[in-house]
Amino acid sequence: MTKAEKINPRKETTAGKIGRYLAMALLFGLSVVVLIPLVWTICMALKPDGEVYNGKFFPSVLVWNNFYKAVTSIDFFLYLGNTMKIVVPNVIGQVLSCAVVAYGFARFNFKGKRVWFLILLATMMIPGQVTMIPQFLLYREIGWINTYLPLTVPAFFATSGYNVFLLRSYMSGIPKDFDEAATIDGADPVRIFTTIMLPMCKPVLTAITVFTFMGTWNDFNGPLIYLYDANKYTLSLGLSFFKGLYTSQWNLLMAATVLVMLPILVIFFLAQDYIIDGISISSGTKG
Amino acid sequence: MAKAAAKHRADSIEARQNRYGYAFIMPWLIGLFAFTLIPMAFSLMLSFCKWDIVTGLSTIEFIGTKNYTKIFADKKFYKALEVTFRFCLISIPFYQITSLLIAMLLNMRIKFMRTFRLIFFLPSIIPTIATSMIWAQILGKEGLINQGLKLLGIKGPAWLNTPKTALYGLILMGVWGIGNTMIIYLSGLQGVSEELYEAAEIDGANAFQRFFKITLPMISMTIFFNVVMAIIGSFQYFTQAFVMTEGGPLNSTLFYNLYLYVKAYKELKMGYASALAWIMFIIIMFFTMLTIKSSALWVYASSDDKI
Amino acid sequence: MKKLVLLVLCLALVCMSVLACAEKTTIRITWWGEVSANDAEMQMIEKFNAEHDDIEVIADVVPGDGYGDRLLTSFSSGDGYDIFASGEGDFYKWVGVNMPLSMNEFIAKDTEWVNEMNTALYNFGNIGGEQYYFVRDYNPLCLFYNKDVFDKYGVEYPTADWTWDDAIAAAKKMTVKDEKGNYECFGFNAQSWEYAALTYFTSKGLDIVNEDCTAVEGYLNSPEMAAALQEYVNFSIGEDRISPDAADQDTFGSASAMLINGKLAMTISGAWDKATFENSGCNYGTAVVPGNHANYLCASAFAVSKNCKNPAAAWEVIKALSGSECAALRAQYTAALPTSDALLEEMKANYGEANMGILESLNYAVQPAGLRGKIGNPAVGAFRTAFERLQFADGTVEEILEDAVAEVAEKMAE
Repeated sequence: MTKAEKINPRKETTAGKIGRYLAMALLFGLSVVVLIPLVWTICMALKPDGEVYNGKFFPSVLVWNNFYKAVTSIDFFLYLGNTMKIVVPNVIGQVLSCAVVAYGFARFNFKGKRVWFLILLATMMIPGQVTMIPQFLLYREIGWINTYLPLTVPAFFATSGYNVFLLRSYMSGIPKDFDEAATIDGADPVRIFTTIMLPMCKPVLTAITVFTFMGTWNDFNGPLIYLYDANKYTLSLGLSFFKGLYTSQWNLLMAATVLVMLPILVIFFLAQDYIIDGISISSGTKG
Repeated sequence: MAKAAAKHRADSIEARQNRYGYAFIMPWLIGLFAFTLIPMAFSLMLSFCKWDIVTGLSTIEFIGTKNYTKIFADKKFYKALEVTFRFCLISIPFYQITSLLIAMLLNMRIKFMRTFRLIFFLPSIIPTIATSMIWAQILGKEGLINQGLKLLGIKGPAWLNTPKTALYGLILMGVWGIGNTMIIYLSGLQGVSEELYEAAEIDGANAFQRFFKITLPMISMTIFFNVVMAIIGSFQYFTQAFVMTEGGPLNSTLFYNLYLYVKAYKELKMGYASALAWIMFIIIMFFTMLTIKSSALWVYASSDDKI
Repeated sequence: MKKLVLLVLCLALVCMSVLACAEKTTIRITWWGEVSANDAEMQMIEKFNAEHDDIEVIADVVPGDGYGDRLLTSFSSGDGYDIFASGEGDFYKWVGVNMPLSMNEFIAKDTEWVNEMNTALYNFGNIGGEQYYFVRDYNPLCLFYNKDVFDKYGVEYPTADWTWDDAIAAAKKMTVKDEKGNYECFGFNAQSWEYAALTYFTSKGLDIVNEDCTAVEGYLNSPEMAAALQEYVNFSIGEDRISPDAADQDTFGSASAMLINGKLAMTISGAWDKATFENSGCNYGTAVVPGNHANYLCASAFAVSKNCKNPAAAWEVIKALSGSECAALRAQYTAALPTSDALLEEMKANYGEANMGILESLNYAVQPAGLRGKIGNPAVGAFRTAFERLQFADGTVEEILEDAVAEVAEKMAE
């Protein structure tokens, strides 16, 4: 049951009903299109070796053992642990720091605010391909190569312009009446931030959690450039090893692929209530 | 006296705003100077230099604006610009409208909505390797799209293997990646209060009027966010072209960043690539500023909240 | 008391400096591949480390997808790896930016060293008289074919005396459409991958560069080349094509998949496809390339970097990695062919009848144009462009090849 349903037990017109059924049919049709690749991936993952190239969609027998093989032929759990060492700090760091910074941009009229915000946007406008090497040289200079530091520390400094911008847009939509009432009650901005803003931003913070989780989880280039020891490698690097190891064994490659994307699926399923149904404040309501 | 007091109070409010404002954005400021600006400045400097990368820092050689003059005489540069502009022009409106429409569908009160939402977010999760294999089939000679066209009596091309259609094939494929944009639209839509719609319905507004008079203005801030991010992202489009077409056939998908990548990492011309990057920076900045300036006309927000 | 402390401190200092002297030289090495316990090079390095008190080798194995990026970033600071792996396509590129170190001096000084590598392979790593690269893995190109397809259409298997005319005639017989006009099977794969395409021309006695690889004029744009190129491209164009085009290959997955499923009779490929065909249970065979059998050899090799602080130690590592012991390990764990003649001879006994074409092709393998001289890589690049333009009929073959010659001249002028 969505929030809207709870608030509004509106009477339904016939036209509305027809529209609803049409929408349902459309959603269903599109879902099928969307699901085919996923089903294909899973089917491929379950195929016996001899059927990989037979061009048939479904396997003749389900070889669940492929998942076991995929896990054991690379250091799956080592890579999983390493990935978590990067993902967890990133999610915590980005969510916290971006919320703080976005609050600054959303609620205070400090000098140079517009210029700083433009700079924030500007940092996203330079292709990463040319800053990659200078960045590497910088981290090398401070001795961070072959450690997790270049992949985690920056997250605590709101380095994602996307997150700050998204949060700022959202916070701007929260009526200032809440802040003002709290100020009259003697609350300082820090208190307003922690007791009013953060709880109200839960949906968008959850969305950022999911996006950051996904981005870090799938990041290939960062770990590739900064981590040298194979026992520090992450899952996305491990998956890529798979490609080299089993160029002909698509079934095992796809089994590993499914295993790697499973956590994101779970996270999204758990988070979607917060992201979508939790929103009650409209963004950009004041003219 | 009263004037002075008022001035004093205004000062202190201003000072307070400055103090708290800077205090809150401090983490970002530190990060900006520590991690972001130095590499950016370095690449700006490199754009005036010649550097083969692998020979090390000591071999960076200052050559003035030579990279830039060379770029403006480079036929492939114009080709890459053309491809990228064409892509942006089509894909930005196309993806925004598609993701908004799907978000609106997902915002209806329908059974199994949780499942539908999960399904429509799925494509963003499936790793590129699986997606690209599937899409090579979908866009193929006998693929899903051409099967559909066949019903209309049209004989479709092998999308990615035909110079005239490869770009459109990639644009079509990009619909796969709109999950994040869609979620943001969905959350924007969820925030529009039901009472507004009810009031409009009582006034006799039809579905189109409600959409244009209520929905669009109410989510204008969300649209603004998504459009700005789409501009920044689309001009730097890279991954799918790199994986699927490698710029071909006949350079028809030679995206700007792909060309830049080839220059830097295949031909080892880091200076040239950096100059390319800064030209792109100016282009993106221009269109972002244009959007920001125009937002005064269509984004409903108080002046404080505008950028 | 004070004196005692001082004495202890002095002793500690002496100990430390002695330890510092005995500190090992580290050699950092990288290659692309997979991390697994069965990696031949990893085993070799472990053994090397156990046998050497003075040198410690640290190896970083990088996934193939990101190897280039990793190599460039690590070298950008001016140090980077002491030893790196490279594919033959990049040999000239690295030499052009002064990245590898010539080992000539060490080879001349090292009188004890016995070169166990096949002479042709050893020379593969020699550019302009300097021994930069040491081959670790190599693949000749040969003709893979599906025996069942040949049997089905009653065509004799390829033999060593096949000319290209024979091959194309056979391919035509095995190119079959169903009643609706859809292809059931293609005879030959006239692929756009330039190594396979250039193998076709080379085995017909044509070349894109002159003999000492200094000019393209009269070679890349010769009338014979133009005619042959047009013919080759036409193999995969139109309704009478005998080869799948890129779109057909997408429809069926890949050329290998097509061959396995009996949709393709013949294709040119390297030894790396042996495992693919074996695993799929396909009834395949191999043969030397028709014509004069000349084929492009693909290889990867190790080179010592110019930045290496201790090239003498790196030379020791190179010797271990290019010796026959390491070659034997590689052959044991991967599909790689051993680099030493003796091992190769040994291998022939149980390499499998179906794979004999791979081994035979070795006798006819030639250096890719890109390796023969400075003009080689630009010539291959221009050929690739020309090929693509011709595929999409972006001009006549003569015009396109003239443009290609101009492109090479432009690249050489830079």
